[in-house]
Amino acid sequence: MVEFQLDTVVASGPRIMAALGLTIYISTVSMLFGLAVGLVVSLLRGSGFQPFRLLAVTYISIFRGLPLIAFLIWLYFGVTVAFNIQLSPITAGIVVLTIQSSAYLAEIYRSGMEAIPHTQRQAAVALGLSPVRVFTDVQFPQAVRIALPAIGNEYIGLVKGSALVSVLGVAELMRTSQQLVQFYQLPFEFFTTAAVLYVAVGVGLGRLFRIVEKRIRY
Amino acid sequence: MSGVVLEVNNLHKSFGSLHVLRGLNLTVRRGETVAVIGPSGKGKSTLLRCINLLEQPDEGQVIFEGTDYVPIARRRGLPLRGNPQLRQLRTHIGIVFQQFNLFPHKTAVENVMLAPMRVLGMSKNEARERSLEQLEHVGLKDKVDNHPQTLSGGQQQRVAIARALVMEPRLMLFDEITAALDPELVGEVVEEMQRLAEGGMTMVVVTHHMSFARHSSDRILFVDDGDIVEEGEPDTLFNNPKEPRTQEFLAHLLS
Repeated sequence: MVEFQLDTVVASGPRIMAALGLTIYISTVSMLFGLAVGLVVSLLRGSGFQPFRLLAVTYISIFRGLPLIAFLIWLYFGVTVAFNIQLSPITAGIVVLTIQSSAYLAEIYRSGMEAIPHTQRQAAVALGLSPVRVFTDVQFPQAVRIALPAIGNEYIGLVKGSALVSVLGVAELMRTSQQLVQFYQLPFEFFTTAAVLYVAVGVGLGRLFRIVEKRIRY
Repeated sequence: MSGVVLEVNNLHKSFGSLHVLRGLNLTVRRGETVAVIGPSGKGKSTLLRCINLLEQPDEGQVIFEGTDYVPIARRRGLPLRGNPQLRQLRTHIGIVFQQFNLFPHKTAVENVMLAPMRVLGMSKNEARERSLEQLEHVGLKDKVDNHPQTLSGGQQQRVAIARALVMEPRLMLFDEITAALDPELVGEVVEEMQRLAEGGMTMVVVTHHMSFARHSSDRILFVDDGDIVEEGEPDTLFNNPKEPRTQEFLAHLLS
């Protein structure tokens, strides 16, 4: 084995860190939007109005089943052309990741909601709380606590999924690593660095979520 | 009739093919403590849950302070969905459940504060003050910031009582509230019910605690197979039950 060219990697540090920053930015923004959209989808899915439920189930089925890379390419190279839409690659990536994560998160919320004993809702209703209050004050906080590990997983999944946005030419960690490999002809060094960084972010997020879980433990 | 808080007429409720309530009639007067006894699974809890419309009766009337709420519940579909008039009713009727059903993500005082803030629109400070008062009444002054999981069953049940009382209900329903407790914790919870009964609260108490029924209630209903088999004053019912089923039930308890 040849010597690991750490110096070259270190020299490219600023560029790699900027790329890592973009990776975290894309996945975090997608996560935040995904949490919001997922909540809406989950509420529609649990609504008493059949067409809403059908809409939500269809949404979840489609976007959970669509491969991320197929969705990215379809949106960025297909839809934008067909409808003459101007979309930056980063925005396209965020849109795709948001939609996909919202489909997963809708189901994650639902699993959390279903894990709450129905007697909780009963007790809240018996106190005279409105359905909205029952949800915001009694069900949702408990559901989030239950779903937190799964939500953490989804966030880590998004960080990894964001690597696919490289196919649109976004200079996130994966794409940047490929460019550095081509320039320096050091595939092992730069791909290893990328791998280590992805794992590090995953470990960091795992820690973060455990801290949050402990903090809101009751 | 003056002084009548609750009137239940010809109440029917089925779950599938199981006919749980079969034309039950009941009148509760202001300040009265009515104990409901009888074998398990024969409609006692369902009766309470029909009174505050947590269950929708199939037939009959539930008249609280002059208003029949059964048609109101029927008009707006499922009883657990939003219905302002039923919400209003529930602010006047407190219920305590066998399994406490406290909110695990809230402390004792937060459990009690929730409805005053969210239903009555009280400010946080006022709700907290009143809640602390209630918790003090049930002897939990030093546990107000505990989460339910760190409290004993008896303490949790007393929080649940405070949570219902803070709404200043005009009728209290108790659904076998000592049944899930360890024997040594039953006393402290029964004491709270006795305190309320003596204080003039109108209450319907489903219970297996015969000593409470006998000594603290004004009237006892023996319910079996979805209807009242016999009712009477505690001494009469315990000493001279007329119906064979009542005699059998009481004899079984004493053996």
